Amino acid sequence: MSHGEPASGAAFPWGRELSLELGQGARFSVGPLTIVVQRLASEWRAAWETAEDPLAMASAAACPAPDVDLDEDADIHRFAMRDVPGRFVLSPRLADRAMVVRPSRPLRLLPGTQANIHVSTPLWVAMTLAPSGVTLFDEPVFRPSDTWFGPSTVEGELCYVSRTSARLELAHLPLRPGRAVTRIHVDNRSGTAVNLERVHLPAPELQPFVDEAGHVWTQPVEVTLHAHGGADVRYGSSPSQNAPAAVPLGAPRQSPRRHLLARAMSALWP
Amino acid sequence: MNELWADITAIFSAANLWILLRVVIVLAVGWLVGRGLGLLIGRVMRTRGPHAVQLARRLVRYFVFGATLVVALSLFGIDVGVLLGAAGIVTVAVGFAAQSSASNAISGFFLLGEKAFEVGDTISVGETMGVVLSIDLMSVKLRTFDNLFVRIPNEMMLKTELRNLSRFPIRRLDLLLTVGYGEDFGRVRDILRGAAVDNPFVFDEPKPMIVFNGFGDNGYTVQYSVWAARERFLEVKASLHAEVVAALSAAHIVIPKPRRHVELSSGDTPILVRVADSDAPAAPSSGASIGEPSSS
Repeated sequence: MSHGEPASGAAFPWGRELSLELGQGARFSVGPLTIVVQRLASEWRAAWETAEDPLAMASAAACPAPDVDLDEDADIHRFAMRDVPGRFVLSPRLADRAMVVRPSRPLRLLPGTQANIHVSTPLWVAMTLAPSGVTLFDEPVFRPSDTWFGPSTVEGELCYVSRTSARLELAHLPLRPGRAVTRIHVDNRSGTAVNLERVHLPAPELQPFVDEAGHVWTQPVEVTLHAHGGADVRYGSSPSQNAPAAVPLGAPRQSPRRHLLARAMSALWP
Repeated sequence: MNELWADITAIFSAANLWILLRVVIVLAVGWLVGRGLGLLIGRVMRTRGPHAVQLARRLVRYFVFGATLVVALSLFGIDVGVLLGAAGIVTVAVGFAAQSSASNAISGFFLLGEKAFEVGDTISVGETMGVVLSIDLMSVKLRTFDNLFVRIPNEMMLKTELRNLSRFPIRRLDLLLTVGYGEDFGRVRDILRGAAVDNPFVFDEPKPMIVFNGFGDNGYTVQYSVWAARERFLEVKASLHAEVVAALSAAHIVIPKPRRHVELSSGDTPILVRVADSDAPAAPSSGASIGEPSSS
């Protein structure tokens, strides 16, 4: 589908180089988000809107798409430039803040046991021009609600909340377009049971991977709870267990920071 | 007269002019060095916030300029030690004459020490609310939201209750609603909870608080408190009120109008209440809908 080849219906063209001639437009739908772009002589125009259902299953791409004409009077975004490149890439990105995900029911992890928890979080869609790498926009498929994660109203971190379920079995987690799946492996080596009521996922530090079906994954997060009360957190290198053929697409928004992880994980188990 | 003229010409002799020129040069260099050092310190400390930068710049400037002044005075042949001794006496005299200024200056040091607010914070002092532009020796300067410049003496800042709206990252918005007695509280609670969920800037946690607050004149009162990020507070305040009214209205839940119970001092005599015909002429200003008993 690269270089102007019409595309529709199949897997969403994450990371593929697309192109438009002058005056042509394209239309993309991923989850609840619909994006329309148009290339003009001295500007790119873009418009996007989000459907009411945040769990919508739409996944479609039409590039070029017929009848795309983004009028100046409409609610559009304009990006002026002297030489308007025709090639561009749509990339998935994880949220720009940490996500708090709740299991459908609070989970109790007994001492000496391990568990895999699968969570899905909404994606951001970035449109980047090629070959310059200039990003025109970076929009969420839907804007999650804000929440506060911390021991008090004075100390904590501003996060997004994901109201979808966290599942123990991947098969129970619907693979929705516009959402990335993360496996959290918890190894409870402490002497006490821990209550898992909510998961603090440092989404900006996770890298997106895309499989051949267009589903987005991240590398797993591995948490080890120790007897002394501390926790180790490591990121796996690839989501091989869930999607062996998935390839990395772009870098995380932030590079992982050890001290931040320690803080995040100490708050993970309230 | 001739002696006076001789004294004046002596002051402006070539030697004295040379000293005067050196003093001017020293003061100019001191001013430049103080300003340059202040900018340099400000650049080094920029990560510590505008308040610390402003304070450090001023301290450096005052120190350098003070040292320059001492050098300049010594060029005139003035003994700085004697001057400082005299300054002590002068200070006492000036202190009596300028008590409020001294009080402001001392209050300024306490304010800086307390760190109750910083440059750029939004604060409320008495009836004035605005963004702190600077914290100076004598006063704090604010820019109000209607773009007025307000100067508040430090002494008043220290004595008055001060609220810093920028201190903590999240804030709570409180709404007090009155709902008709006929409405089910559980249903009202669900609607308010839904309004909080639908607004993306209202926090999921800390959870919205919906409390039956008491019995009012026209209905029961409900306290509805939600949390939002400080930067989004005004946005949430603006949108949530309208969203709550719309949600209650869509569910046909009545926000009652004020009612008044009126007792007339007519003793045991009944009062005739007559419904006026819709096509009847307008009632006289003395009142007809609740009028005197008909004589016919």
